[in-house]
Amino acid sequence: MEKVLELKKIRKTFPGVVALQNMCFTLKKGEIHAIAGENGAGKSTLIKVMAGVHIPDEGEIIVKGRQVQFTCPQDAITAGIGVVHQETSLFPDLSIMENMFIGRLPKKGFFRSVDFAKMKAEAERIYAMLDIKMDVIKPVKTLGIAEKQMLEIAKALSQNSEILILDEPTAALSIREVETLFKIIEKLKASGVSIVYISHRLEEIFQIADYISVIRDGEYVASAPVSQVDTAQLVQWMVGRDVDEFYPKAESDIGEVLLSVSGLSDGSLLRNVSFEIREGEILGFAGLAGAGRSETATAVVGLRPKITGAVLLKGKELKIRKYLDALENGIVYISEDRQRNGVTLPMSIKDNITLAMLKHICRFGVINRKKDKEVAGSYMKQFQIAAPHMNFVVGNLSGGNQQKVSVSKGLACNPRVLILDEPTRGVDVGAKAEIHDMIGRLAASGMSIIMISSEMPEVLSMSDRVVIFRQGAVAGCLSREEATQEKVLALALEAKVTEVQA
Amino acid sequence: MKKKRVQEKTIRPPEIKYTHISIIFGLLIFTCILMSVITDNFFSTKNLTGMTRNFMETALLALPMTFIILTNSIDLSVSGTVAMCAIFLAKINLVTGNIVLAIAITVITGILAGALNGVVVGYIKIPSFIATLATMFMYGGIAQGVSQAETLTGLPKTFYILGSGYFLGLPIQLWIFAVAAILFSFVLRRTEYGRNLRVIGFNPESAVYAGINVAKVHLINYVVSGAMAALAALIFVSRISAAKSNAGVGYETDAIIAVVLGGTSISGGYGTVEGTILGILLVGILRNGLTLARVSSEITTIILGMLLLLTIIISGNTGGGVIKKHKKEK
Repeated sequence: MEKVLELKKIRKTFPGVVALQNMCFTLKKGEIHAIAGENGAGKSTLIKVMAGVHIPDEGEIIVKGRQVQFTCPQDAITAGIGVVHQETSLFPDLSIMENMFIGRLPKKGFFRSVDFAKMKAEAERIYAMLDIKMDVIKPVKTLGIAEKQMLEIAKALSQNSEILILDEPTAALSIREVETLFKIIEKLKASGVSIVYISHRLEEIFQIADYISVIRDGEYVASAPVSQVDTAQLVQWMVGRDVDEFYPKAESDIGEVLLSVSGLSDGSLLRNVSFEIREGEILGFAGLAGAGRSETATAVVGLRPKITGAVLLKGKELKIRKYLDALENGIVYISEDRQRNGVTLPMSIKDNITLAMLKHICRFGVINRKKDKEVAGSYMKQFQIAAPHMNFVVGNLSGGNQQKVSVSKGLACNPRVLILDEPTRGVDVGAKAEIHDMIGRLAASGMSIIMISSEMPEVLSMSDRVVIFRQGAVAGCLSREEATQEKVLALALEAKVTEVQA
Repeated sequence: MKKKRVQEKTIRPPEIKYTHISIIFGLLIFTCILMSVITDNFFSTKNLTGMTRNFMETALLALPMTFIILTNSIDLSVSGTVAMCAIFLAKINLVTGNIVLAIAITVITGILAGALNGVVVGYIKIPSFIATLATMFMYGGIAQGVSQAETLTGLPKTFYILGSGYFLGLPIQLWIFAVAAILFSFVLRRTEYGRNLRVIGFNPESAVYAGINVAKVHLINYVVSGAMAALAALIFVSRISAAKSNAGVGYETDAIIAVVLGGTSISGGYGTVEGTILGILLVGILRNGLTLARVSSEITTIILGMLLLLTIIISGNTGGGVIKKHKKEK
């Protein structure tokens, strides 16, 4: 079969990180080629290289035998590569046909007015090709998620794409909608379109893909025809890392149950989530992106509305309506997105650290300036925040130091339960070790710690127990001894454990 | 010696724009010199007193406006509130003959008017520009309806002290403003509320993630703004010894210009009460001095507009500040 797209030895770096290295990928005509990998393995970066969003530092991109150099997304579109993104980029108030041709509306006549008749005919032709029966003048806001997804596919096809990249197309779809989508994909395949298919759901890959490539830590691992691999093989390729060398955990005495959450639902993603945590325990939250880990944490502390669910602290039910209620009960959440809401970038280190606990150093609302400086100074010293002085703007600190400020802000509230959401994301190795050391010491001092992390080795080596989330529900809970990378990943991916062990 | 100064400079709190304030201070001195050259009687006691009396109502409105702009919001409705309060004061006094009751109801009206703004902006989350534009029309319309476009008079003589009396040789309203300014400055510098204002302006989401009740802060801000508008209305009616439904017209724009000239970022977070005071002085002196120099008020308004644009461009105080720089680095 003819090769339509070939990537050779692609290397892409961002300041301080190597995102892709030695990446190879070959797509044949009329093939459905799945790409699998853990969170942060480099799938998104790879797609963006194919789509001309990221320009690789090294390596070759060959489209239909011709070497190309994409400088912008338009180049990739011209070369016949269309991308259907995870989040749709449609204009809700425009019609289906306008969305399909936005930016290149057909024009006619002296005044170059929009040729609606031609646009409608064209849009209808593409929908007919995909076997979708729908009025193309309907506004997009009336469409469901699946229909929007199909419109995105149609849009890519209307640009004469011969290569279609589908990034997690089924993430938001129901089972029946997935079936419809698969029929369309099959139809495209039959008409000679090549498809790159990204999905976390392994059973979908087995159902639809012809070929699979696995990537890990930004590098190509292996590829094989789907008919020749099984789940166990895939998981092994995706994991393939030695766990033991990472972060030894400090010993701590585990005490009574401190916080227990039961029957937590939010009406959209979370379904009946229950877990409990003891004093001095580190509870890891594992799962894929969007599985409901952060959502559970934010719903517990009142940052996200919940419909049902009880939160008990030492057996006493708490009424948490807003975050302040959680703070006052000693439950602190440290955000995963520190730039957005973890710290206030333009403010000083001092003001950031004391922000959430300011009430405790105020008399009649007036800040005790001496205590304000003392608190900030003690955390700056304790965490060795690298800055010339405490009035230094947080936005000018490195990622690791910003994270230390964010954690200091939480700890200054004197928490009994500390929820850390991706505490080491985007920090360098040194700062990472310091943060792990700190988490261990806090647990040893009797604090209960919930650690949400997408880094499997981090979760496994730090946690006393691991709760695994899948599609908004708890898929399982493993003790430190039981938890292996394979078991956790299998639970997160809904593959059967026995299958993996076999 | 020099080294020490540099060090002190770097450990200043980051939320104050020193460059901007220096520019405004320089401008202020330049304007004073200019006025003494182009007019004969700018520095006469009579003129300075008159100028102070004329501009203190706007100055009082600029203080809560500083807080509101710090949280990345705006209050356009203050002119309407002033008009409504002024008319209520005169009307109730005419009907009941009880000035104390009239004052009480006026103040309550101002607070309620502010509370409505606060609820709409803070809790219903309507963009403040639209919300207060709507209430500006509502309050102004009420003033026109109640007054039937007539000038209302008949207030007791003793009431005029507020607008034309002296205390220790200075106009009474200057004292009122001084006390208010010290209070606002203290709240912004030293209290939890003041720090919350900045956080909300810089990043409302991180404010929520620090347990701050953002809606409540907006509500308090607008209630204070409404109360200050009522106070301004009392002073206005007392000063001109009558109430008209066009009282307060243009107050909101002058107050906003004073705040922004004074270095408060229109997108929130950065700013000081001291800067606002400089802004008030600059706007007040320009308006008065140019009138003395027989420049028409339209030209004065044009000059103010140009000045506002220029200072913002020169000082680069377009908001964003650190975040913008940071994004670029990424």
